[in-house]
Amino acid sequence: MPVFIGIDIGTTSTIAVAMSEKGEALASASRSSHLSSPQPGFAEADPAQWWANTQVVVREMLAELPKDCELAGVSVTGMLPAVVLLDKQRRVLRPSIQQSDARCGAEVEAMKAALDEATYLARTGQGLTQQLVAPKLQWLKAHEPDVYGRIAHVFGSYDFINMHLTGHLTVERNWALEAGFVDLADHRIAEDLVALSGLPTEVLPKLVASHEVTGTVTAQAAELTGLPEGLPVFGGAADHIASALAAGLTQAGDVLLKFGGAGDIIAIAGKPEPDRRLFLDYHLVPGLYAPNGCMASSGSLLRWLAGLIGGAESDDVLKQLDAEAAAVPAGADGVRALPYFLGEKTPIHDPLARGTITGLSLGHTRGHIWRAVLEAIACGFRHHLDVLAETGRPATRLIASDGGSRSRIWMQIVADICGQPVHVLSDAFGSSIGAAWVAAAGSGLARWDDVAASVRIGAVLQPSPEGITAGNRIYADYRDLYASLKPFFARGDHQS
Amino acid sequence: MREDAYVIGFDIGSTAVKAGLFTLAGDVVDHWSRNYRTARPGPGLVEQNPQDWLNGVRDAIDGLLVGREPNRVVAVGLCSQVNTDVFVDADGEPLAPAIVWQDVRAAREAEALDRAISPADKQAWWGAEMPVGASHALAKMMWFKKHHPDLWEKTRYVLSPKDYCLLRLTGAAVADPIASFGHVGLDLSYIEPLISRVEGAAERLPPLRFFTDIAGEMQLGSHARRVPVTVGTMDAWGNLFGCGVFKPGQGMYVSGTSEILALAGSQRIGAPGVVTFATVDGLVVNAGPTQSGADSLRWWSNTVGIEPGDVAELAGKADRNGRPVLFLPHLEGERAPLWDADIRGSFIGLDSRTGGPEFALAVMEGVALSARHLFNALTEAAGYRPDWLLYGGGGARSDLWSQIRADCLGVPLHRFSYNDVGCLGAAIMAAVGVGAFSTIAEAVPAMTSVQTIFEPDPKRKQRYDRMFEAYLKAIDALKPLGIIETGEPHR
Repeated sequence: MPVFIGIDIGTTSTIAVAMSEKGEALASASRSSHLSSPQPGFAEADPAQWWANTQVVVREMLAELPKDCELAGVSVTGMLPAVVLLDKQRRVLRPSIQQSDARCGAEVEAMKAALDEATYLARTGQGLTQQLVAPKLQWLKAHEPDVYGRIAHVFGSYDFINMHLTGHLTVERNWALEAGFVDLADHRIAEDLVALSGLPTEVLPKLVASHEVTGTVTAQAAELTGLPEGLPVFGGAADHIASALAAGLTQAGDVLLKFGGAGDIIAIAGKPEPDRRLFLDYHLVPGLYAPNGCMASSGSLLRWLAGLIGGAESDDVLKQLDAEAAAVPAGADGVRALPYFLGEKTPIHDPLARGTITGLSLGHTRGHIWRAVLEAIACGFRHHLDVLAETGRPATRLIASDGGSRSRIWMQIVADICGQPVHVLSDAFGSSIGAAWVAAAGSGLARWDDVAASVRIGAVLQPSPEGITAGNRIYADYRDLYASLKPFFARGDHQS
Repeated sequence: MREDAYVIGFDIGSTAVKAGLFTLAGDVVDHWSRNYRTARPGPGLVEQNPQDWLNGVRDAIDGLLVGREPNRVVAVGLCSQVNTDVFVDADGEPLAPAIVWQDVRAAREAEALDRAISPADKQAWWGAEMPVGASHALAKMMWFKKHHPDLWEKTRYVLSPKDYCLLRLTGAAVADPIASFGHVGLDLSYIEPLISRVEGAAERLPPLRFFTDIAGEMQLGSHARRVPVTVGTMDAWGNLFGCGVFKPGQGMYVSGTSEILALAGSQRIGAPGVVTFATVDGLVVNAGPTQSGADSLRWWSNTVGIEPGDVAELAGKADRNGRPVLFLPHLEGERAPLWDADIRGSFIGLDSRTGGPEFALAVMEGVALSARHLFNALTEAAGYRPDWLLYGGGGARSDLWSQIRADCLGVPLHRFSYNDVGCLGAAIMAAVGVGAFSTIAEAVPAMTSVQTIFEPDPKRKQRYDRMFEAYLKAIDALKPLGIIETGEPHR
């Protein structure tokens, strides 16, 4: 039986999964990984930890796998665009700067002053935001010139793991697209776009599609991971797009809501239709696009809050807080929140925004605060759906996945606030399974249509009429609250 | 008067009955306190059981006199939370739970009342445009009359906590003009044109007596001895005397459930948002209470599941030079100087580095910012900025919080060894009432003393200058949102 390996370099953990050609998870293993924030708004990770974790989780997963399995390919997925920097000897120059990092506000402003955003957006599919890689490199040029001067290669997290597996340097095309380096006219890396980072085009490795073979597992990598030498390694995939695939998103109007450490929204569309409020990726299914958004903090915010008001960031505490929130009426008796604890990416692109909890009174309990934050994050998701609808891409089917989708109260809140049924995926291995599908499709042993057939939907949460009424009010307050505080955040009034 | 005489002073506060047994030198022989329950049966509703106050007074006396000679006690004095009202029948029995000053059920009635009074009338009555808020006794009477007409019919008196206790302990129905400042004019008598706006209010208000007058005699707990009890007044004035304020140029800061600040002057100037009390013995007291002080801390400790005392410890771990989180402590709206029942508490500027210590520090700093807001209005009202403030109250026990307040206000705070200054103030009034001293001005310096001084740090003051600017801007930014859901009206 052919088996495909998917590896996910996630924000909070590294996961390996083995998948059958029918999409069943046969074995899996995971290790937590560390995201550091040395300054507010900064988000960094250690690539060496990713590779060390990968070795451990692959070995553990393989040990669990039945003996009659025949490994047919491996594909890696990860956050995008993480910025991993190597010198000429392929040594890691500094911690990876994550996609949620908000340090380059000034550099983004400089790009806005120098370029016409509408032209740039039409050409690259990306707005001028902190997500782009060029301003991050410009930040390094200004703040860490020594590191900047030694940059020989720039690529992403799963490209980095691919390098360790195959010995080859490649960059998957969605990384380059979201980085702002691809011209949609010919789907190639444009020299002048890379030049915005002050670096030559040569720092970017060869561009590959997700399902292209980039090489095979080397003897050294085989030794370290337990994978067979010579196993084909595919280009890999952005984790959110891999999740979208694993969730069976193949039709325009399908929208995946990912309740992970961050909050992702991935929609499927037949045309690129660039919109500055969203990001644009290629879908893994050739010919389709995946306009998408990412909220900087979602599950990570809840974990943080659980630690603060529940005493621990454990699942038991999350469940207890969920139960308390469920006992509080919709609207949390007037408590409202803004979830912008790391600034915000889409759709507001405001690195200066900060977390806010308001409407508090002496009668409010932690259950109120918890509910208000669940509602606030749900409002963040709805904000994206509104943007998609405004640009002629209304959501016709909402699918929820990842850790947060296991919270029934949260999913009910999302259904009420978004005013649509939420289909919760039963499968817990979203993006790693998606990566395994990339290997399956890339090796020609599965068709893209097989993915949708393998998806299992668990609970379907229906919005109630009262829930929709309350949800509309909460959402209106959410938009008003940000509008009121935006100038406050922009002036830095909360800082001193 | 015997030289070894004791006086007992009570502060029937927002959360506890506190009592002190004092010598005439102001030495604290013993202290007693018991918390009582505050019910919050719905959003904006805050109630207490008057029996808890009374039981507290009786038990406190017995507690203080264990192993002591009851005959040494020469007087008892009371002060209490103000704008907390209980409706009692002809037998002095409460007809409903007491409506606490934090309760906002009568907000609409207050608004109607406030609208009906012209600024000129306010000037004539109080010498200032004092707003009528939800805690005003007349607003509550309007509410009570409308929602409980049957009980209103049975209502003989509407009483403050200490007046309720006085009625039950001595049989005398009295009130004092200072505690009744909301419906008493500069001439220290009820404002007839105001009271007449609520039909039936006049006959339900007890006669006014001065705070050092003897209301009657009460039995000393379970002892046979009966002692004189003074009329007493509101906690703010009890605090004022207990803090050592007795002449113009002095100011006080008392941190209790809320932050109460006062500046004593000799001229009537006044400013929006603060109360300028009727002149008593040449003393013009400008004062104001914020809505929540130590209450904010208690609420936050409940929310995060720690002991209130641990909040200060946690805050001590935060970097006081770090990027601040802004906390607006308006958990039940704000009183002085904003008088807005509709604003609510907020944390603004939270990021990935905000943890338990930063939240705790934010709560303490937010309360200090609200006090600074009030202090600014008071300096305007009094026409001067004091060189220091006499400082006490239960919330003054934390050295860190005391230092934060001194830094934030930019004024040295002189703290007493005994924090429950309201009890001492009540005892001072009692001592004057029975003739141990001829005047308050004579009694106060004889019975009070400062122990610790918190000097403001000029560098930290800069932090709070910036935070205060942000505080004002945040109030403005959030005010138009009106997200408040007060729920169904209380039945």
